[in-house]
Amino acid sequence: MDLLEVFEDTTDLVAFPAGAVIFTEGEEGNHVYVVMQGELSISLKGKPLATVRPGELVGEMALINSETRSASVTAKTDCQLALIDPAVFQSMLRHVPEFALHVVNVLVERLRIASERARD
Amino acid sequence: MTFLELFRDWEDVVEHGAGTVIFQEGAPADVMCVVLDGEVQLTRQDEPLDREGRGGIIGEMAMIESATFNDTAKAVSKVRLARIDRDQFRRLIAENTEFSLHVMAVLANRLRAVDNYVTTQFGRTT
Repeated sequence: MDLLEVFEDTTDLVAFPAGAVIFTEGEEGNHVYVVMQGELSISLKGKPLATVRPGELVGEMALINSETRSASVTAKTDCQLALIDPAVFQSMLRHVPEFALHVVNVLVERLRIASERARD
Repeated sequence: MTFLELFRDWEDVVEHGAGTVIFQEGAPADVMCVVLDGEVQLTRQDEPLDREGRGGIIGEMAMIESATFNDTAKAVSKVRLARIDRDQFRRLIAENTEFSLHVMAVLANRLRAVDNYVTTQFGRTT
């Protein structure tokens, strides 16, 4: 599923300059974001975990199991993000099977990458 | 229908005795399992990572083509597992919201555990 295409007409966009903090681990989660332009960096306890690129999701973890933000996210470059409201995100998970499968694939892929790092 | 009710009449169900290694870290990931009964210990490089009981999911890397298992799974007690192949998994996600939300919650929890494991490992070596 191409999220850039799905959200290309959204007006709910927010811009962050390079270095800006999008959210911090331990915070209450509210929105999910799709990177439309630029790159984000995911880190935990100050250690980098992953880079998020255009078309990729970030912030979904806190909404999936109603917990606090699992990691911190900062803008690696100037970036533009599409905001997904929590209710819209939950509704898409329930009513758009392709989106649900996409989110599962995102989580499995992140697990694979995290696990490779654990072995390095 | 609850998550476990989906597997009430599942055909591919296997049982393992306590102590059985269900799969080994690094082996080709060919099947994902839902824990119907009992408890499974997941370890990574001989260190405990997570425990999965009734309703838990193990072997999720099987959902990626040509992937290998990230962890070793060992039965803590006698376990009963429903085996799910990639096509069945995709069909369940598409057809059953309960299943997909449960899978996402399990994966998100596992990812939190692995991320914490990774940062702890980094902490030890740096």
